[in-house]
Amino acid sequence: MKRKRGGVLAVVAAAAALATYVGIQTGTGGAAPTRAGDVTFPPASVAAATKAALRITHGKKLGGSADFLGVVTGGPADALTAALKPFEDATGVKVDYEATFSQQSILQTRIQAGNPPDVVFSSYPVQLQQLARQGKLVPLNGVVDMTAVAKQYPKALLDLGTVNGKLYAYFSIVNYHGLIWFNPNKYTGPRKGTWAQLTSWSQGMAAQGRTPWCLGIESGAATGWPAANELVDALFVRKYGAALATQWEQGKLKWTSPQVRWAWQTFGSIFTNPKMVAGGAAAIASTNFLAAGNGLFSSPATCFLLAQEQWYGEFAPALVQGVKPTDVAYFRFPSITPKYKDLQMVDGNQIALLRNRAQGKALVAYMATPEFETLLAESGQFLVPNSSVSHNVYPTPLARNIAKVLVSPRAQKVTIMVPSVLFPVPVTNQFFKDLTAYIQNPNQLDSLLRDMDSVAAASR
Amino acid sequence: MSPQLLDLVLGVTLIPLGLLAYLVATERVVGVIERDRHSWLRAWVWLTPSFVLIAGVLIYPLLKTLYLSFFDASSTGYVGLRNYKAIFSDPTLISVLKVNLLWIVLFPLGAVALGLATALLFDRVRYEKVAKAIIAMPIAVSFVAGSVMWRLIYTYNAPGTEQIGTLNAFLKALIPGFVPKAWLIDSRYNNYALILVGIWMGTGLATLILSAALKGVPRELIEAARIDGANEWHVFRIVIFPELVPALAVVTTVSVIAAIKVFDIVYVMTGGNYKTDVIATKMYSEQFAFQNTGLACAIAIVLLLAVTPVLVANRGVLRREEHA
Repeated sequence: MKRKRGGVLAVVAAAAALATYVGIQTGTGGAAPTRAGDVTFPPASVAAATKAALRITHGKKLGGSADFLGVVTGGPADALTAALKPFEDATGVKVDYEATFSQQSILQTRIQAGNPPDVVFSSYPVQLQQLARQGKLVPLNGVVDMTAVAKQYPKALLDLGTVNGKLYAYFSIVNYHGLIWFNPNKYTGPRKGTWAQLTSWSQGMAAQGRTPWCLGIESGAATGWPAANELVDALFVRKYGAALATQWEQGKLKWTSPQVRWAWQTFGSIFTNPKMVAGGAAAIASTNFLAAGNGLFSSPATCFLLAQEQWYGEFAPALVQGVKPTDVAYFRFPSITPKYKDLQMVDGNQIALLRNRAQGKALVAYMATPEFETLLAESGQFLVPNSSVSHNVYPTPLARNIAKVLVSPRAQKVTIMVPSVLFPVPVTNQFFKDLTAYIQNPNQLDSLLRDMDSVAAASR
Repeated sequence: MSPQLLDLVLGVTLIPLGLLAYLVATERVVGVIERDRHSWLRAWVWLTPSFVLIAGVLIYPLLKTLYLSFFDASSTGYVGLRNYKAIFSDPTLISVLKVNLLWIVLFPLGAVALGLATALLFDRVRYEKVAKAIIAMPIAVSFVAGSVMWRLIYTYNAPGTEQIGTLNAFLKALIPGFVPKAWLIDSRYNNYALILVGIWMGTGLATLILSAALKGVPRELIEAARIDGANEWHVFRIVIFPELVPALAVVTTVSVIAAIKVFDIVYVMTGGNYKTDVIATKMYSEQFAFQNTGLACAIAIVLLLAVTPVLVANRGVLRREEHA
């Protein structure tokens, strides 16, 4: 499993919720203690990782320690620290992993105080770009194996960590967006095809008095993100492609533009219509995103389709009562403009180096190796975008399927970030808030989009 | 030893030792000068460490906040009073002030009225201690835990599905044809639902304080009034109530302050969505979600200014109490 996206608040709420999902009690903010996990890996993988660590330090014992600041807690943190163990054993470097839900502000504060961590595991690409421009990050050219890195990670993801031609950060784990989940025992609608076909099927269901869609956006202070990331973002990307999405992210395309308005309205035509969504506006707002898909499995089903990330396929059988792995299946977000139908949307966590110390450099180099990322994949807690990691190492069929698509050479060329992650933080947070308000009252679309424009203008 | 542990050890040893060294050293100097009967000098010398601490963790941040409130979001450009103007002219910020006003009126009213009623009624029953313990229980519950609990009570499920929220399930069982309400979402009543949670948590303290004050009312006065033929209402209005006024003033001002700075309930239960934002949640979101340091600092100053008169009034009441 993983963390969640843009914005301090998003992380606070979603990390808490996801940590609850993996059944681990976490702290309530600030620094959460790292637990020694009982994660086990195949011995051959551990041996390979140890070898990779020794290769980096040329067999030398560096000793000392490295400060590592991240956002993942609970089960995922156990998996992460377990995957770092071979490095610690091989190099003698003790990795002090510290997780916090308020990473963005803590990182900023520690840098200002002259006490940055050696390495950061960040879910804020925009913040890292700023830090790189301010000279607060150490370039990774010469630290990691650049040839290998260029070969194994998607270019679009590396570009996000590149400033003035130098690499400062790379994505070590990702979450896969743009998936629509259904229960194959109940859902009879189209599994391939276009958004128009899915919409017309939805209208048919609504006409029969059955609500086709599930949606639940409650997520504490980050309420609204499932609608923003999984639906409005996906609609925009499928309709207008990556180039226009970049303009939107950078504030060059206005929120009041016909394109962004189209995405909101298309979203609204389904999700503000009580005949289309189980429970209508009040239920959307009050249903937690983890419970949003429960209607897929109830008898009779109260809804048939749920847009959510890849983790939902593991989550539902594990934590929704009575759900078997065979009750959950997905199809990719349908095509709107044919040439953009293959774009695959992700977000994720980047590794960056803040201090020019041998321990931190070795750690960053180790984490860029396929051997380390294989351990992450084998733990079943992470999806890694590293094409040198075989999809066969994932523990479940579902993860294997998604990983296979994610790292296929063709797919790597069409991997992009979910737009919400690349807005300035205030814009992302306002997006969640205003979309939540829109669902409650669709008549205020104009004023909400104008509000978004003013927040975007103020954040530039 | 890890750096954190080292810091901790140094912190707990060096600070007290340093303080001790300071006092010993200054005492020697003061001892020499004291012959001139400068008794005020010793007092100031001993008070200095506290003043330094207060200046460091209270006065300096306050002045810095005030300073930053005249700057823009990134604290780089001077903007004068723009942030303050925004608070009183921006429609979203005005609606925040209105919600706070609702809290300031209803929360103290509810907590004090219920506290008074329970204190008076419990005074007349044999099982007073048990009853008071029960009503005081929410004091022991943190605001966050209480809010999480009440979120479960207010949970809404679409009509026609099973109601998991206690309140909707209860009302559905009680009233035939009851349509479940989205207590926290519908902006017609969500603020009242939140204030009710505050009252639930605040009543206990009001009861305890008022009950203690009630015990201080001389029994012979009450007896005398009854013998003179006063009915219970008159006894309360003419004898008991005037004796309770100072305690009521304290409870009310404390409640008003709590209402002005309420944060946890709103943050946990609605995140400030659906028109429930209050000054404190707005301050938090402006700083941490919207990274507008200038506006967040201005809101903090306004919050401080709003609390100060109540705080002063509260001090006044307490002082009169002491002199009485």
